[in-house]
Amino acid sequence: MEGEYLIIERLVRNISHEIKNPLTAIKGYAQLLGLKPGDPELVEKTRKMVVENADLIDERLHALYAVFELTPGEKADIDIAGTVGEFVRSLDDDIMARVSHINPPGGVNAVLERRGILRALHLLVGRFDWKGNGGASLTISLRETEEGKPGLDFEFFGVSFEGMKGETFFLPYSEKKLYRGGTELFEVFATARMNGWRFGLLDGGARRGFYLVF
Amino acid sequence: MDEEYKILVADDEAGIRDLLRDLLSGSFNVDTVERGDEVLDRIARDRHDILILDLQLPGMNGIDVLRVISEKKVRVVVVVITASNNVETAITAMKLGAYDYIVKPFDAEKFLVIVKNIVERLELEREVDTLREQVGEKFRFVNVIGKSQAMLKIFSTLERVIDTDSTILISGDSGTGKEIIAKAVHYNSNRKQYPFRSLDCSTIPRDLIGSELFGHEKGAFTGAVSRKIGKFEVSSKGTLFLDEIGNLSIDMQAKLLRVLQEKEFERVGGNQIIKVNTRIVAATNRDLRELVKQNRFREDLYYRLNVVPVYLPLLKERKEDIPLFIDHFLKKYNTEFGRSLNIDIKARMFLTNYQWPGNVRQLENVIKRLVLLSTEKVVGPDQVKALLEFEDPAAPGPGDGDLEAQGTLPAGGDIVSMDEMEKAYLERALEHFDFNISSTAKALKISRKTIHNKLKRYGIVIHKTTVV
Ligand SMILES: Nc1ncnc2c1ncn2[C@@H]1O[C@H](COP(=O)(O)OP(=O)(O)OP(=O)(O)O)[C@@H](O)[C@H]1O
Ligand SMILES: [Mg+2]
Repeated sequence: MEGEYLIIERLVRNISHEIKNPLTAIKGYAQLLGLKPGDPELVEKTRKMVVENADLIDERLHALYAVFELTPGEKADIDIAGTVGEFVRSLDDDIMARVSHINPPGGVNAVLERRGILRALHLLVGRFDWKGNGGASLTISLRETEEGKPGLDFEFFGVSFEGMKGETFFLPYSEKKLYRGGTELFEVFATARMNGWRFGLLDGGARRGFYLVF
Repeated sequence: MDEEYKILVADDEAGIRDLLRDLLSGSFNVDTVERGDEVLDRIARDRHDILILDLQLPGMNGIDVLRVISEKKVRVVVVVITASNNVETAITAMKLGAYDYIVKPFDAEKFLVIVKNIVERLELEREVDTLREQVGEKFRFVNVIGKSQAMLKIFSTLERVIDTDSTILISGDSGTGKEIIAKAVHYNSNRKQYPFRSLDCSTIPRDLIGSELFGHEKGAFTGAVSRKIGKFEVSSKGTLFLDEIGNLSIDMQAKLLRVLQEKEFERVGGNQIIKVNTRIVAATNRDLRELVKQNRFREDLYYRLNVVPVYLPLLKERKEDIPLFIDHFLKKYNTEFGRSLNIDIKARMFLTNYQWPGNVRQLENVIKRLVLLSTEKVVGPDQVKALLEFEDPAAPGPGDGDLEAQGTLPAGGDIVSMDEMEKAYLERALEHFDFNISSTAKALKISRKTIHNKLKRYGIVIHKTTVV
C-alpha cells in the first residue's frame, strides 16, 4: 500500500511539474502584456505563445493516456535477432556507430507482435538523447531467460542512471537526462504490459540499462 | 535597470526561455541555454552576472550546476526557478548559495522585483570593485599620510593586527581621517578581495538600521516586498565599517553584541541563522566611555569593540604632518584638475600654524580650492589667509607663531565660487537658528542629511554643539 501510494505521489508530482511549465509561459505572457500594454508585436507574440503552450499541455496529457488506447497487433513467428539487426541498420549512421548488438549463434525465433517490438526498440534506442549524452554507447544483447523465454538486454555505457528506481523509473516525466520527451519509458512499459512482457532495470539497477522479457 | 548586465536563462522548456527573454530583454542582455551541462561553459565564456536556473535540466541537473558554482566560487547571482514544490530542494538550493527560489507558475512582476534587487546588489558590488581598482594603490598605508609620533604609533598598531579578525575602534574628531584608516585596514588586510561596506549610524533612521545591518525577509514589515541582504552578510569575509557607532540605539547595540560574540544572526523577520565572518571597524567622534557612564552605550559592547583602540589626534596636535598633507593634496588636485600650482614657503608656514577646526578634511578642502581658484602659479600667504577667512571667519586665527597673520587682510581676488557662496549662506543660516540643524534644514528646505553632508563638504564645524 505504502509503495503504491509513493508511486501515485511520484506520478502526480511528475505530471503537475510537466504541466506547470507551459502554464507558466501562458500566465507570464498574459502578465507581460499587462506590463507593456498596446505593444502590437507583443500582442501577436502572446497570442502565438498562448496557443502553442496550450497545445503543449494538450500534447502532454495526450501522451499520458494515448498508451491506454494501444491495441495489440497481429502476432507472427519472428526472428528476434534479425528484427533487432534490421532496426539498428535503420538508425542514422552516427547513432548506429554507437550501438552494437550481440546475438547467440543460431538466432532465436518466437511468436510475437513485431510492431510492438519495433515500437519498444524505437522508444528505447531511437528516442534516446544521443546528442545530450555525447559519451553514451549501447549494447543490445539477445538472451534466453531461465524460464526459457527470449529477452533483450539494453546496456548503456558512458551515462548515469543515478536516481533510477525499480518501481518508478518508467513513470511519465521521471527521467529527462536520457529521454527528452519524458514519456518514452512509460510507453515501453505500456507496450510490454499489453503484450504480457516484462520491462525492468538490468540487475535491479546495478547495471545501467533495461531488459525486456517476451 | 542596466542593459550591460548579462543574464543567462537555463531552462529546457522553450516557452519559459521565450518568456524570460521577453520579460528581461528590454533591460538586460539575455542569453539562453537548454542544457545543464552547457551552463558553466557559457558563464565562463560570457561572464553573466545573473543566472536564472531551472532545476530539471538535461545533461546536468540544476542542483549539480549550483554545487559547481559554489565550489568554484563562480561570480554569478543565481535565481532558481522550478516547477516542483519540494521544500527540500529549495533548502538545498539556498544552502548552495542561490539568491532566491521561485516556483512556477510565478508572478512576472514579483520576478522582476527579485531581479531588480539583484541589480541593486550588483551595483553596490560594482561600486566597491571600481573603488578597489581606483584605490587599490591609494589605500596602501603609504598613502595614509603621517610621520608624527601619533600617526607612527597608529601605523605600528595596525600593522600588528592587520591580518587578524580583531575589531578596531577608531576615535577622533570630525575630519581627522577615521574613514580613510578604516579603508586602509581593509585594503591592506587579507580580506581585501572581499567586500568593504560602511554604514553611518548617525544618518540612517533608527528603525531602518536593523534591516540595513542584518537584512530582512520578504514581508518582515510593510514595505519589505522582497528579501534584502544586509551589510553584515554582504561583507562576510570582508570588513564592515560602522561609523558614528555612538549613535546606535540600545537594542541595536544588543544585536550587534550578539553578532560580535556568536558570529551569527537572523535577518529581520527571518529565523534562519546566518553565520558570518565579518571584521568590524567602528568609529566615533564622541567619547564612548562617557556614553557608557551615562548608560547610553553598553559597557560590554564597548569592550568588545575596543579591542584595538586607535586614537586620531586633532590636526593641530600633529603639526609635523601638515607639510606632508600639503604636498599630498597639492599633487592630488593638481593631477585631478590638470594644474601645476605651488604654495610658497610663507603660505606653508601659515597653513602649518593654523588651528584647523575641521582637521584634515578642512585642510584638503582649502588646498583643493586653492588649486581650483588660483590664477597664479604660486600661491602666497595672502591668498591663503583670504580663503581661510572666507572659510571660517569665526574660527580662531593662526597660532601664536605667526603674528602677521592675525590682522585681517582683504581678499586676494574677487573670485567667489558658488560653493563659497553656498557655504557662507549656510553658515549664516546656521547662526541664525542657533546652530540647530533641524530648524536650519527646515528653513532651507533641505534634509538634515543634506546639511550634514554640506557641513562635511565645507569643513564647517559647529562650535555650539546642541545636545541630541
Ligand atoms: N592620514 C591621512 N592621509 C591622507 N588623507 C587623509 C588622512 N586623514 C584624512 N585624510 C583625508 O581627509 C578627509 C577626511 O577624512 P575622513 O573622511 O577619513 O575623516 P573622518 O574622521 O571620517 O571624518 P568624519 O568624522 O567627519 O566623518 C578625506 O578626504 C581623507 O582622504
Ligand atoms: Mg567619516
